[in-house]
Amino acid sequence: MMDWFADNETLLQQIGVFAIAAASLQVALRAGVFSLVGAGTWMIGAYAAAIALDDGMPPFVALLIALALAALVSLALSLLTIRIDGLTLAMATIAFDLIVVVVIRNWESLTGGALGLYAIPVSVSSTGLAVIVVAVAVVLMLVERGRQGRAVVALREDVQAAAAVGVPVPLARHLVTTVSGVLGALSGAIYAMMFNAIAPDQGGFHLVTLLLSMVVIGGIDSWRGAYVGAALLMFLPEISRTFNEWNGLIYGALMVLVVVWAPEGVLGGLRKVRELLPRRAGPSRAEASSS
Amino acid sequence: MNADILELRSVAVRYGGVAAVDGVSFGVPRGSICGLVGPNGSGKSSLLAAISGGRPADAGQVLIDGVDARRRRPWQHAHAGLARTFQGTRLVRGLTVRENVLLGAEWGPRSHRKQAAQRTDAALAACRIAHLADADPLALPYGTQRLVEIARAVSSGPELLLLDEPTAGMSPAERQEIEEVMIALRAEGVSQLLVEHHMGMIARLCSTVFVLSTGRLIASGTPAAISNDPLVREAYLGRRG
Amino acid sequence: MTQQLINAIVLGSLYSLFSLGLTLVWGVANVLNLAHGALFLSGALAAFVVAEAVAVPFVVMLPLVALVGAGLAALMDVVAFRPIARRAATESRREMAVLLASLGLAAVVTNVAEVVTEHQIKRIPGLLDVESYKVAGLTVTNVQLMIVALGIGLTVAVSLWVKRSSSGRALRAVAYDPRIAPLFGINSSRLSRGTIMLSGAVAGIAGLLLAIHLSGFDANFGESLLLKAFVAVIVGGIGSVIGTAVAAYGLALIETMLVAYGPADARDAVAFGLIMLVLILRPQGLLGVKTSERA
Repeated sequence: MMDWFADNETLLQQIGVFAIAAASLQVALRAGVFSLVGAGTWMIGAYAAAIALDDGMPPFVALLIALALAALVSLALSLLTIRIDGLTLAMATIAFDLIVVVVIRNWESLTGGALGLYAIPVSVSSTGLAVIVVAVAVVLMLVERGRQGRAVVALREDVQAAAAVGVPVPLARHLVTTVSGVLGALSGAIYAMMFNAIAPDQGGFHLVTLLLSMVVIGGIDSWRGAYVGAALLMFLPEISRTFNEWNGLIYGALMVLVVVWAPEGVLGGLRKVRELLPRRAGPSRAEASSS
Repeated sequence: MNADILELRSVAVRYGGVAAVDGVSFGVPRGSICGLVGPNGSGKSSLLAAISGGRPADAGQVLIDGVDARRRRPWQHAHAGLARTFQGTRLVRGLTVRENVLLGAEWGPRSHRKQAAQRTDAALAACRIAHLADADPLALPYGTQRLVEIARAVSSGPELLLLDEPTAGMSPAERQEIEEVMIALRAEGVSQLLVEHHMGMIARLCSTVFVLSTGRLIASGTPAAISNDPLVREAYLGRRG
Repeated sequence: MTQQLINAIVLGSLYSLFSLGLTLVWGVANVLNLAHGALFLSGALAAFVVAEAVAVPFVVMLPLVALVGAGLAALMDVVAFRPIARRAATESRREMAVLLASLGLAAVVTNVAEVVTEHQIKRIPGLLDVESYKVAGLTVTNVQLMIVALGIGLTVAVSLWVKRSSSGRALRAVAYDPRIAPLFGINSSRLSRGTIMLSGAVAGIAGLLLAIHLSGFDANFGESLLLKAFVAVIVGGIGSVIGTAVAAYGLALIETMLVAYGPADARDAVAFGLIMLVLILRPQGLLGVKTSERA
């Protein structure tokens, strides 16, 4: 068993890092905020951490700097985009993500330009990553429960109802977006500090698509969907090695299939299967996504 | 303390060049049930939206408890003790009946939040849907959904309750249930503004009725006085000749 | 300088053609089709495959790629967009699902293109002999003339169709408020299917033209252009044919200037910056039909 872990350590590390990144998008989408800012702050976080480490800061401080910067940027973006939502917001945040990449690519003196940054000191161990992954899961799990959890569901399903019962809608949006941005930066920073190199090509449209597919395939309703989706999508290339050439087709077809036939993702599909199984009679149970 | 819990002064709501509500003024006395009626398109829903902050008024004053609340956003109204129901029920998918009602209690006025669970149970009982607490609200019959929405509005312990056509499409028995709930609420001191088409219900419940037509207030008074008012008849039945 | 202007006009015509379908589909069917680039690619790809096998005159190739584009778009609608619309519980879920599905569709088509082109840049053989003309001291090729002619021509034609014809009016009615469509006896699903097919046809043509203009294409052809199309659509106004066209030409002009005087990436940054600016300040664009959703 331990051998398997050791053999697949890199894969598991990648799953861990991208689980957090997927969770960053999931947090926003779950609240009905179609913001993809996490893919942009991923890059900001990665570069901020790398540059801070290069300046001689201890890893913890570098991480904090990355997170603080991401929080500021996401909040600013949320304030700017408060009047738009839905597809328009998605477009605006995708544009932001792409601008980040362009800025990074051109600010050569700071970021090393198109080549990126190398030889970033490895500052996060697998154990450290595991702890962070679990911590994030715990935090998200707590947020999904109780009063806040219900408010988030209301925000997503019916904003007018949420506002009418007393949920402070703009504040909630800013909060959700900032958390999303911070999680994105957390993932990026850890990536940089673990795999010790970062380049602008890793971001942009490709990253947005990757993270979105993880959330979609795993399931939007909870953090578990992000984690499951990350695991599935990171495993896929391993399985489809024989079909390496057709990776794009397989992954694309999978996306379409899931979105059309199982819009609640793998987890949602499993939940439906569980509900179909025989159980003792009682009043119909609501498809509660949180309690 | 004002005699009127809600007072409108020359409230106007405009969409582009068109006035949906054009200079409406009236007052809802504390602890009473008042009716707001008018033909379709007379501006009732726009007026309600202006009062509850969903679409704030463009002009005039909306005084709640004597304080100008024209610019308040809906959640601020909720925190200050206003609750409302909607024309098509706005129940939250993915939450049970109980969780929907709980939303009202736990996000309403701050002083009421500590007893959110108790308030929720009380509201469910008052609306006679306690046995449906774990049900999926969207799987329930429409009339019952309305009751859930009312329970959600009630659980926050509001001072002022706005009801937007709560009995549309209901059977007489279901309407009766809602009337009883409203009477019980009045007994507890909750002021209510009822938008309705069903005149019988208006006559039974309301001490004062306000009649809107094309955005203007054309009559106000007791249900009996209103039903005899020629202007009101004209508005509903159209001009003759 | 005037040579630059010609380049800008050609580029603008291409952007315009490409964006045309996107603005219609987004404005009418409320489908944000990120696979629009794939439709564009399919035109070039189909032409390549056919031309390798059979010598086909340009006049025949043009409608052929239009058919391929329309067909592929219809397929996307049947396989993804329509089933999603049927099943989605709310409009916002539908929008998101369509966006995500279109990403998947784009990945599929791009992968096929990668395999067919063997990850290389390919030329479409023997379609058109490029001839240059000298007009008033400027060099213009027949390809460029054709692109501009088709670009302007199709834009005007579609715009007139939207404004004058009954189906065009129906289109605008549905874009304004989908709920009123049945009241006027408009079959909105047939309308959106038709619009999607039209957008595919125009995109296919645009793809062929660009492949000829650049003397080659590759599998990533559509992606960078997709971003430009979004700029044009968003700035010009979702649903507005003329607005999108104007924005397309404007963008092409700015880009052409920047190429001469600035780094390549700056062009992209301009595009993205414009998107964000417009979305934040004036979400409905310059001449947009759709207003931004919800209170």
